[in-house]
Amino acid sequence: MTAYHPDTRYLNDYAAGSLSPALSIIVKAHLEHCPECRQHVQSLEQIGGTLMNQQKVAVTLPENALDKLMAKIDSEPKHSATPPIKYRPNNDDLPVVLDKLISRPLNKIGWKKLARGLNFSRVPTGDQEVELMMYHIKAGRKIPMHTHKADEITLVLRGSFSDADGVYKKGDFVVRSAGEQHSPIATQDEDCLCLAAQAQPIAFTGMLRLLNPMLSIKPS
Amino acid sequence: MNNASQEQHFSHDYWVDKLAAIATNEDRQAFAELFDYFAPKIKAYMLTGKAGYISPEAADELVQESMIKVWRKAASYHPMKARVSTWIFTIARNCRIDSLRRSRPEISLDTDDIWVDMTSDETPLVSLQQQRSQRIVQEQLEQLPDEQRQVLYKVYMEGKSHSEIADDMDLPLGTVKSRVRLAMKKLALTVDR
Repeated sequence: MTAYHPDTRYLNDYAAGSLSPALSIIVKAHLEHCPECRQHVQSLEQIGGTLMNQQKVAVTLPENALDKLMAKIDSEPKHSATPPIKYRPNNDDLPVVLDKLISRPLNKIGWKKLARGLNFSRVPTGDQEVELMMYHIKAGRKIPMHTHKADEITLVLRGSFSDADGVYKKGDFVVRSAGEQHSPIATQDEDCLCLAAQAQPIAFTGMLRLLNPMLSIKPS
Repeated sequence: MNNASQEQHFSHDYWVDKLAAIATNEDRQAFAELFDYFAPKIKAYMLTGKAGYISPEAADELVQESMIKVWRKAASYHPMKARVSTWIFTIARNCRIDSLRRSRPEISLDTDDIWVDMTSDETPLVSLQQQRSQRIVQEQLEQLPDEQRQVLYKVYMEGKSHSEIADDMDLPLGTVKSRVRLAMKKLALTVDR
């Protein structure tokens, strides 16, 4: 069972649709793991649904909006109401939202080495402000001490890691605030795969600060 | 077109039947009704969103995208899991998030929708709790004092943060927070962690 969850702020903003795309994706990835948060979000979504339904609408649509839509539906067989071709996961233990985004097996995406035993890969989300990355940490490997310039959210996808504050397992949603320093270690017996969202690059504080330019933000 | 008095006549079951007709018979008449009723609401939602600067044309485009999904996904709608308005809201919301994603790859068919609905896997117990919770939300939302309702409206329709709402309404931040907290408590949606 997941021990670390998004706080109500994230769940609320996710339900309301006011999180950025990358943050929405990482929250959604947690929801796929966590029935408890999923249930809460569904109730929050009902607030949205009810308010949307009850609002007094003063806008009008173009005259031909429905005709245009039906023409679109007719012109594209994929828009038929019959079930579309089934999606086949490339990595069936990953959250669907992530698997669909990367749309290929993990060993076929580009990984870059950040340090010994630590590789990363950018996840293409189209978000222009928040970057989403996957980190792969070798079993037992320690990540050099670093600090975050902005809040960083980490979701454990495989294995587990620990830092001074706790042990984080699959499905855990860990938030580190800007300015916090930490040095996570992957558990001895298994490699750790994480998804992380951050608005600005992390900054290494020790010798590895030479790597900082590599991490400059470049949302994909 | 719709007006407030007309809206009263549409029960939840009414729309459930329409969705079922779309799913089983590709019923265009049913879809047209659903469109007339919900499309303007979706458009209004798109226009009030945080991306409040989107043009009416862009909002129309998002309405089209949302309603195409309603058509395509009608068969995946479960009346026991969510109300029709909630289901359509989540589709519209996901379209709005997707619109903020630059140059997302156009992958065809089922794979272009990354926001897969997980609710069909819930256990019967979770589903029951879910239904109970939804009933409370529905009932209590109507009973909320205007000031709490208005704050929720700004959170959910306008996508505003608590501090943005405080600015908007010229209220202290603490007041906004406590109104949200009170409203959530009435809706039985407080989480203690």
